[in-house]
Amino acid sequence: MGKAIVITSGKGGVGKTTSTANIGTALALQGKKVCLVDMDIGLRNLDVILGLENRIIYDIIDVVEGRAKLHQALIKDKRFNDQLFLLPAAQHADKNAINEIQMVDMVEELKKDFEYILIDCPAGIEQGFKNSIAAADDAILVTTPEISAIRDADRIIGLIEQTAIEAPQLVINRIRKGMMEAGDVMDVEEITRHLSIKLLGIIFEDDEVVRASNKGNPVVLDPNHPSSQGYRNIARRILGDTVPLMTMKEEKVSIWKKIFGFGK
Amino acid sequence: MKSAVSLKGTQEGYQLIIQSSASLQDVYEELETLTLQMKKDSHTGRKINFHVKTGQRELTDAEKEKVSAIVEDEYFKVSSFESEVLSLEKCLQWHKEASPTLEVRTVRSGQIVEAEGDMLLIGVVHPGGMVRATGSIYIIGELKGIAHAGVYGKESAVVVANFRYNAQVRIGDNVHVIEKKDQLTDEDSDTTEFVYVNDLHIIEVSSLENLKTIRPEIGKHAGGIYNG
Repeated sequence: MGKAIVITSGKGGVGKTTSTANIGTALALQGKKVCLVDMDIGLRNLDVILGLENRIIYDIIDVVEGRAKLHQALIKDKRFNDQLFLLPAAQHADKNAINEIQMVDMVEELKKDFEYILIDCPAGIEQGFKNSIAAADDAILVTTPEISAIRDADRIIGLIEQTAIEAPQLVINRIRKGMMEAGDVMDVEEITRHLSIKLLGIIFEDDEVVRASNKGNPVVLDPNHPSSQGYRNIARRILGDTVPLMTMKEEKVSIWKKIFGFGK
Repeated sequence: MKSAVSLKGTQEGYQLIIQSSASLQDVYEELETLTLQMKKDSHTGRKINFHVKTGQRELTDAEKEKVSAIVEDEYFKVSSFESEVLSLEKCLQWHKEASPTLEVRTVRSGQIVEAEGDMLLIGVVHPGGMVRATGSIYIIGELKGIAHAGVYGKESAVVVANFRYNAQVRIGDNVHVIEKKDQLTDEDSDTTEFVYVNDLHIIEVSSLENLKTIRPEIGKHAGGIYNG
């Protein structure tokens, strides 16, 4: 029996979809059988980031309305050997085309075949959010160090606390080391304390995330980037490993090292 | 005076020809006398089918029933009616089916553009956008989304487009995913091809010069409902 985890944020643009794609891919890299569910009906993106857009034949609304069986709508990611699947959202419907009960039924069915079901929640707190929350066992809350994102995250935690789901775990995304060190934004510890939930991981700002997503390859596939390492650590923590938090300290590269390639 | 109803025997069988200039009242009366006469003359006991030609007059269903009622008995049967008149509705329907729908637009993500019969799209189908036609689809521009031809199962439909980008083509119930490499070479810039369903019900891509061989009926409208 699998576990359904919703990835939510409240505010848009903080990296829910990118995080869903990368955490899902990281779990698949760890040998888990993962299904990603895109709940952003009408404005789907998860398929694009995974590079599976042109493979969509049936979507979640086709399943709900009985035009397709659930297994027909699942798209296999060929980069993994039967480990990673996507259930795409519909593009020409809206979030009210599905309700909580249908969502719960569908996720229950997915749980039989998958170890992890990651639900990519749409921004906002309307029907799409309610649907995503209804079916989840756990929640991951994504935020950036910006105060507006943290404010929305706080609201989301409040809403999730009213449900049967355990308190969400926090992912702080798009951390700019320099700004955080200079105190321009709240630091990791402050954010975690302010929201008073468990910290699951931090992701540093990394141009490679956008570059990789644009090519339809989640950044986590290439281990040589700090963001990739961040997502891999999150996946390991979800699996129960104890992984130390990545260091904030920017390695000071001395001018001599830059010039001569040695020295302190 | 020319009689309102005349009988004609052909190789295919008997025809009842109803003059379109005669009043319906006369037609019914003459039909009755004619049928009576025929029934008197016919002793063979064979079943005879009549084909009714109404010329420049389209009978309503009620009128057709009345004609059948007068003629038909144990041995006589009215097999079919034929007129040289086309109803406006049928005309428009035929026109719709025979002429491609022209769309000049950009089909954006989440939009669906549909057409009855064939569709000619001038523009771009963006990723997530969809064009759907009961017949074939011809695209001048770019296909990056989904083109679904023969929506109601017409597998002889084709999709003609420049397949340079990642896209998806469906014909009837068949689905084909088009994968292109990231970097386009000069060779790719002129790759107008067509997609069709072969005899084994498998989607295939072929170059345009084979279109006429594989689908000779395309671009050749024989004209008229009965030929079409």
